[in-house]
Amino acid sequence: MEVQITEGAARKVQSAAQTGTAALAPVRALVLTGFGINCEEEMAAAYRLAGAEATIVHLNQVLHGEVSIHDFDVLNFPGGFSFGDDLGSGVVLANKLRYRQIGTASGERRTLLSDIKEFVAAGKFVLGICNGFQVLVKLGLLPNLGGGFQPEVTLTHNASGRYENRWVRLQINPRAKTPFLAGLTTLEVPVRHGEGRLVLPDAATGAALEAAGLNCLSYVDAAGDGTSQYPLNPNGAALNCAGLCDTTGQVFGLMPHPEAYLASENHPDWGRRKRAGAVSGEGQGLMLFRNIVRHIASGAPLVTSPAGPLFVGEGEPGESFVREPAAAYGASNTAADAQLTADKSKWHQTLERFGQQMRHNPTPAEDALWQALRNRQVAGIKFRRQHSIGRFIVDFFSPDHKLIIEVDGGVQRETGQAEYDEGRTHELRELGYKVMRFSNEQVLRHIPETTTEIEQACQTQLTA
Amino acid sequence: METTSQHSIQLLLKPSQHDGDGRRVAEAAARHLGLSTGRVQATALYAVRYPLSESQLRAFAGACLQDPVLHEVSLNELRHAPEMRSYILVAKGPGVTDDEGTSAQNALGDFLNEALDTRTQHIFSKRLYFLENELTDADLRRLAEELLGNRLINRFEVGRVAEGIRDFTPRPGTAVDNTVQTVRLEGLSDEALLRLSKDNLYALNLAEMQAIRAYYADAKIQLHRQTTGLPAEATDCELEILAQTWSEHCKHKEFSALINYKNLDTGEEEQIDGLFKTYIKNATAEVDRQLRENGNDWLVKVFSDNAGAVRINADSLFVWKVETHNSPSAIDPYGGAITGILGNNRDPLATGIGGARLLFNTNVLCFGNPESEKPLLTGQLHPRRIFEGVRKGIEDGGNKSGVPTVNGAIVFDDRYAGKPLVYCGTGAVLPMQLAGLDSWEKKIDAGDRIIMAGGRVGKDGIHGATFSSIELDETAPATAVQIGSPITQKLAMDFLIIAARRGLIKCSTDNGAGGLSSSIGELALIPGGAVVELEKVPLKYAGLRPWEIFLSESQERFTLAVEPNKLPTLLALGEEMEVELSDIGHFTDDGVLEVRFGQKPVARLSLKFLHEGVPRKMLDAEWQAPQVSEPTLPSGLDYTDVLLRLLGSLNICSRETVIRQYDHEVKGRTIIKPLMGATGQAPQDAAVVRFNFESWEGVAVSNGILPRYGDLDAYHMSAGAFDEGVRQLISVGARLPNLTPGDGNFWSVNDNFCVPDSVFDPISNPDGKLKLAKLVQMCQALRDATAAYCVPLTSGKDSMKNDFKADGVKISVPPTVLYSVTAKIEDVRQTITSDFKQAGDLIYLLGETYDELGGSEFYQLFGELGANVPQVRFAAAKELYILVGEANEQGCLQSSHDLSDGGLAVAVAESCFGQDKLGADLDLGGFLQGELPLPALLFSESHSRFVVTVAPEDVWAFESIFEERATRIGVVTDRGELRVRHAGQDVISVVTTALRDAWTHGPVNRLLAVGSDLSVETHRTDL
Repeated sequence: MEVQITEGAARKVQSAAQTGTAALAPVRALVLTGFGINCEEEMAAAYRLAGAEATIVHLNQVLHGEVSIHDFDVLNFPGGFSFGDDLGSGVVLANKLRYRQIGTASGERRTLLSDIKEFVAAGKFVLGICNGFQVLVKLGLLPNLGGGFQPEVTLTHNASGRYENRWVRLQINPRAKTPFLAGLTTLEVPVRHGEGRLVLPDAATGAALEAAGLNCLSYVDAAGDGTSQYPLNPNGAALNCAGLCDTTGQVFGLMPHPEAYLASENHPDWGRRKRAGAVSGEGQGLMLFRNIVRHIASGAPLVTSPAGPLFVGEGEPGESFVREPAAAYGASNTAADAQLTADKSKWHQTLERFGQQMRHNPTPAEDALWQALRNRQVAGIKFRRQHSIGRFIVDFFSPDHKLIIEVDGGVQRETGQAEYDEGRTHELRELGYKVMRFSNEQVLRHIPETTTEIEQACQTQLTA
Repeated sequence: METTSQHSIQLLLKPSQHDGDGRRVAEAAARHLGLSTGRVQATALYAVRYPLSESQLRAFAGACLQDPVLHEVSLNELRHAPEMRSYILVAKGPGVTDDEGTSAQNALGDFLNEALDTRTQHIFSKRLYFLENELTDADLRRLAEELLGNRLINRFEVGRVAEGIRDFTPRPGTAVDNTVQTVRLEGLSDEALLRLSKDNLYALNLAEMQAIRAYYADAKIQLHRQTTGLPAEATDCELEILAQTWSEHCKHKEFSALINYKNLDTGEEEQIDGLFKTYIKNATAEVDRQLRENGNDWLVKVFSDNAGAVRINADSLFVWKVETHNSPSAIDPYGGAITGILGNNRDPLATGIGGARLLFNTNVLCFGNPESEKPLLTGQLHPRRIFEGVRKGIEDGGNKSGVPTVNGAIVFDDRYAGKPLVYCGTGAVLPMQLAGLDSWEKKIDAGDRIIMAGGRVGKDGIHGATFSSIELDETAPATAVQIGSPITQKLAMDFLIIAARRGLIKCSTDNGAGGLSSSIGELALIPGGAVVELEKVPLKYAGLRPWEIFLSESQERFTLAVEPNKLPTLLALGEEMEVELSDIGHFTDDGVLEVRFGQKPVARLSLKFLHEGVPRKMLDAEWQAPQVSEPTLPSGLDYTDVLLRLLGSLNICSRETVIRQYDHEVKGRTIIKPLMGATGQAPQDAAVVRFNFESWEGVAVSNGILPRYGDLDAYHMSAGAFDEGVRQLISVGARLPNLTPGDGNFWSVNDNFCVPDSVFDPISNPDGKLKLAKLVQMCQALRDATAAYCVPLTSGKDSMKNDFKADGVKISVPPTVLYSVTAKIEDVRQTITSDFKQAGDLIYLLGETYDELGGSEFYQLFGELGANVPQVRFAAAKELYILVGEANEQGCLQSSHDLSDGGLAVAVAESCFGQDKLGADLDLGGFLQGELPLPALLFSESHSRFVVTVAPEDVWAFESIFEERATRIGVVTDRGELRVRHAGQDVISVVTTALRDAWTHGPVNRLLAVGSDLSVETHRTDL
């Protein structure tokens, strides 16, 4: 049978990827620590869960030239209290990056800031969370409207005068062009800071930020409107702003902690959501990391191996992360290749690899549905995702029930696509499969209903 | 004025910027002191003692200190707004930790790209406040001492601006002082010996002083001293070492004492061979035996080392410790609490080889009424100040270390107004193996080097161990105070984690109470001796005598045992991670602790005498039950009103303002936080934290503490507290241990006793025998509870002198015991939160309710104590807990909340706090056939009970598990209202948001000003 053939082929491709014969490197995230940084573990976990390789290094390893940031795709400044935040949050660390000169092999003296400038100029990415965001702001990497890497705005004591840990709701500026936020509209995450109030020097700066869409995250109320109301806006930030990106979108920082929401059970209301059948297993915060990893993977050049990290390889919980197989990322031209080939077996192989890549690049809706379906969560039914059937790759497939589930995104709605989909559905049905289609919106907003529908469809099939 | 080699940098907020600090000072002065300050301008001031040129200074200030958006800078000139009339300068005293100054030094080093000396103080941070109104010196000083600092730590200068501003910058000692004095003991009278003990704060009694005198009189010792170059008489350092080692704090003499116990009611008498041995050690040995018999061998380390350890799985250990830091917190609440939490962090960190990763903090605090208007005694701080200071200390200690504060409790009682209780707990995970060795073992051989790691030594904290072993009075020594530096400790902690994993250290221990004297004195027992070279100990400033260096409790230090061949690698790692390491001696096996300063002998003591020479105490305890009776309450009570008042009462009301200032989810692993639900305001029974991101295994932690019941019966108080700790874990989904062979389901309890002076003295402590009898009963209850639940104690502590004496008045804490309980959670996703989840779910009461309102919060509302103290029926409780575990296994429970303060009514109300629209309809009609009076049904605090909800489809399964142990009392509604019917009538009817309002606007949140000073208009003016 056709299905069995493709399963065999899938195994072959996967093992090729595991043995590293595929010339595709995973995304490499560098996570800095030391001197009071304290969110490095969850930051690294976020990248690993998103399929990247995360390396935690002490800042001095970078400053002493033992580790080069250029060996990585994304540079991360986690939260914490760098140098105790004694002179204002992030100030001493920013100062170190700006002024402390590193000795290089060639005897040249340079600062880490100049390295970071080159890093960004090379099209790479920088993320700062909480204290890391404060560092990026004090360092002038954000918002960097003038391009001169000088501090243009500041983050200071909350209007309440207090450090606070509470959950907030964020709205993503639709004009934000940082890939970290691609496809996201709202986000629930915790804030944990005492100095998160964005202060602007003048109205013109605010206008410039808004004009460029750099104020990419704002605190919103239940209705989704930006708010200055405490505690919805926990610090009284100007523009109700919770995060900024630079004009390239490559540098992004935010006060709240997406890396603290990697599992559904991090949310304070998870118990009720679980009762209502509305937990996917994965926290919303992980989406940011999936976003950037997917973005880099889709277009990243090969990177060289980094120097040996200080903190890896132990048999202790918190150390050894289960990694997704470092499989076929970034085969951005495979689809085009496939269309040009006349060789049927090559076409099939390419299709498999494309499936592999899609597995790592799901849309948010596909991802949400996969989280609800995986591991036989729905009525014990086994699902595969991005499965090849004949010449098609279907989104989700249950071999036991011969059930195909397709999630329709923006692409499918384009002219011509609908016709193609219809034809494809017809062909698949001809082969004896049942095909269900859901819109992105339905999946994202009504997961429980969607899974119930799927469950019912399976039951009907069994009884029929 | 200061010398010319010193510069000053002042940072002022630009006029357009919101001066939050200034505004809070003005508000607090008006609110707490009734002082009208007018506008207050807060400025930051730095004194710089590095030789900088004027242009370097300007560049440094502009680049490193000034925030260009916020600040203006003034160099070598003190500026202020023109309308300001008075000023207050808040500087630190000589030698006090100045993290802000040190950070500025680091920044300057980076800015100049020079290797500056940043280990000693050259930049000093201060705050300079200007007040619009002209206040008297006395008022300014009061404002300074009450709101802006602590006279034990800070130096204040106050005055009128027009008269010129006086500055102050500390100048610690500069001259080396290696004086070693000798003390003559021979021929001293008993009074003279006691005076010597009191004058030098040795805190040793007559028998102990006599034992020391006898040691020096011994001819063999004298000969030995002669041959090793020691003076015949005791050195100051030797007496200090003995006083520290023999202190109650370190030796637990009263928990080891022989006690003659008499029950005056029954006439029974018995002799107790030490509380610790009889009730704690033996009880745990019995639990361990039962566990092992059943194939459960997860109890790895108990009552030795810095913390106990239990096995999580084949790869890792859970290490955990709870301690108190009461005395320091009484005189310096912030410093006391922050050193408490940081000090307690060092215990699991330095257990076994060392290098555990910290998982969570927990805190339980006991304070006097923060709204008290009683006049203060000399040296006594207002309970509100102690509360705020301690809270801030825990905030900085936890948050800045990156350790989530996941759970805690605050108990108010006026008897804590003299000495507060500050319990700090820390859980951590240690790999089973470190570089191929069993991580929990401490091994040292003669020849291993003694390395001090972390902070430097100053005069701070000298005499902490002995000081905490006596009652507090108005003459508390300033040097007993220490200020923690979380950043210094974070660096040392990061270093220790790596060093242990690379196999560079053989073992580590913490430098806490007693400093090097205690840490080296104890480690020396392993190989059998040590030699310490004090001149190699790095100091914050010169001027410490040798004994002061050895005894100083300067914080953030570890003592490491290191093999000589690994030293170079270790030192290189220290340099890389910027942690100062000093090689200060080596271990020996000659049975002697030897201390030198250069060539000068400072101390030489036999380890045997040091650790075993203390004479055993003999104490008397006499029990007589108090005369108590049940009260008659006013008739026709409005129970809705009673419930609202209970929810707004000091001991029940919301602690949200406190909780939210602690980071409770750093590390991203906290699954059950203190407050949950859509509102984020539903209080939870216990915290649940997962160990890592790869598995769903985790640990639940809770605290049981019920001091109020001790006024009726100390045994039931202690048993109830233990049950509270256990049932809170059962409530969130933990299973009792040892139910099946080899289930690997660890539990681990820390016991912490805090009692008033319980040593009888006809004049100073006439009721000492009764107090000791209460302690005996508390310990008996502990023994019974551990046996009943088969739950082991793994560490604990006793704090025996919690009294405050001044102006002829003594304030003693009520006998208090805290049980901090942890249990393994197999899958954190299966845990249960307390809040109701969905309308239509059925509400059940699990467990038996008795007429036990004695000591209840309900009686407290009427100023009554009552008589019927709640009792724990262990056998029934255990059966119920096993069934709750079964119900959870089957996923039958949607919510579970244990019943405690305020009983059923409060528990149901709190269960409604998770969501605005949820409510409950309860009918207590058929409940126990009306045997119990309504107040007992609603408010009795009978132990071992839960309110749970069950989805309609699970009712059959649920009821077949619990049978008659579950009473269906109602249903969750979506009407946002709590209705309770009894005997056909509505006895409570109120919207749940009103209940939540009463709870959230209780005295704690009100006091800490939730909602005030939170307006956001001010920061918008700059746009």
